[in-house]
Amino acid sequence: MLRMNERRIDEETLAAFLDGTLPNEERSNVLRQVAQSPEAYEEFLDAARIADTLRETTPSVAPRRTRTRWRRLGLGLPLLAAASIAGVILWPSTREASNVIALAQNLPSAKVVGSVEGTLGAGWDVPGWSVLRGNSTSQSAGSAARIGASYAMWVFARNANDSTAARALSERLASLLSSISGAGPSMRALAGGGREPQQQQVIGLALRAIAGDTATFDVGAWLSTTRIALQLGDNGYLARDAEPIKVLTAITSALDANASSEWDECRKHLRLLLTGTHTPQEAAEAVGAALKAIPL
Amino acid sequence: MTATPATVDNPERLFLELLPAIDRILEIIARKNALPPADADEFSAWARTRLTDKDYAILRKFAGRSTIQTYLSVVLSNLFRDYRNSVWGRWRPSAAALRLGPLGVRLEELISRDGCSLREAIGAMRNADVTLADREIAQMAARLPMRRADQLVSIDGLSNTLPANPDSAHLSDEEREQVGQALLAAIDTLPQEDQVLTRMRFWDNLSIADIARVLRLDQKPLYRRIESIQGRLKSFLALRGVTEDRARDILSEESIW
Repeated sequence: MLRMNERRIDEETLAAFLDGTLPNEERSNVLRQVAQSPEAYEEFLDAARIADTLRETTPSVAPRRTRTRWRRLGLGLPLLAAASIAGVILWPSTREASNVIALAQNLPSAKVVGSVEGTLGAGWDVPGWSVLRGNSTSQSAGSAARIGASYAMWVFARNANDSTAARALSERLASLLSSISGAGPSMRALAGGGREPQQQQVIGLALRAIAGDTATFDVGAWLSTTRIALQLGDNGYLARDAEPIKVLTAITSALDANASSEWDECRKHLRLLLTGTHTPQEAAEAVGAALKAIPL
Repeated sequence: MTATPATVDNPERLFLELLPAIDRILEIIARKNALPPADADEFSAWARTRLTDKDYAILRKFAGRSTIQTYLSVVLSNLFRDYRNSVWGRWRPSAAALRLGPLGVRLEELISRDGCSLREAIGAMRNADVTLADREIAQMAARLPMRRADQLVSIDGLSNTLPANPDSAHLSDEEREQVGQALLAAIDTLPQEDQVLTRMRFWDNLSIADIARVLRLDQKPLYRRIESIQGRLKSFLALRGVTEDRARDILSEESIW
């Protein structure tokens, strides 16, 4: 049980004091507390040192410039870049992303004994998608789906504490993102992060924004997650009223609205999964076929 | 990143947007306090949970009177104090450790509170990415008073008493009491801001540039102002036969502050 200091200065008041934005009268009040109470003084000085260090190392300028400065400063904070991107262009439509990310996070990683490969078998992280070359539009959409699929596998590997698999997948993500300006360095730096669920969410949201095609990113992430769930033997995963099917319903609607006819083959397999009339074996085959049908 | 009361309408979104800054602050706290990676991770997880407690109450409380980054700095700094007190009890660092800064405090915790040998303490600080040479850490340890872990004051039995600081052992208790009380009386006559300046300069050995930046004061006039404060205190003490060195010791004695 924590005991809070009853004489603690109101935190926002102290923050405004440190920012130099407090009116004179309130500033005097804070000074009085700091002068009279050793504990208040310690709180003030500790917070001042942290805020000062933060100010020294975090620029407060426009997003485009800040990303450059973060890199120049060598802070190794890919999440800053990720969140800045996500904050600018992604947040208005995060509900579907949050759902699909949650599905990946909720995979029963505790079932992994040793390595993921040892549990799921060799090739678990090779979905076997098409190598046929498409036009420029489908390349972008296909790339987003691959990023989504790789992200879901990376989350699973991370949560299963398989650092070797996680590193390999983060390198794959970096490779997939290498053609997108500014994204490659951030992704390579992500190799050691993402242990916390919130971090994984921020990374996922940022990747989805960077990938550019949110509908196909979600398709890739959903298919990859479902493939793993089925490989883990969860035969009820695609039950008619289960959460994955609800998420898939929203995803296919977005796909229908946004993706080109090159996605028809993939759509066909996704619709089969929506019917709920398949055996586990048929479901696994449909997921595999949908992954293969993702255009390059 | 700016946050206003309007954006706090969606605290979850705000939390996610702020997560990089939160992690950066947690990293700063861990480094300043030389926390080993395992302790840093544990504290970080605990602090993030506190931020999300009661539907992000801490973030919803934010009214936009400061920047959100500074607000988070204050909040997380206080959370670290709460966490440290809850896990380790309310450990009171010695005046000597305080003068050496956060690394001195951490070193004292390792040696005096946790019972580590100097070699173990150096190892623990290495694990926390402290870049000082072994010899520098050893020199720092030599300047710390020897204290025992059983002097740790538990959070439920907090006492304001402190063990005597050997730095000022050359003063008898009676002398120290007399001079200390007189000095306190002198400091009390200073304006509040000067009292804080005195403590920052003489207790914490902050540079004038640092003090100016933290208190948002012009640096140039601050030199003269602190000289003036110092002159007043020195005169006051000289009248009572106390040298400048002794005055510095006394100024760093929390028990008389």
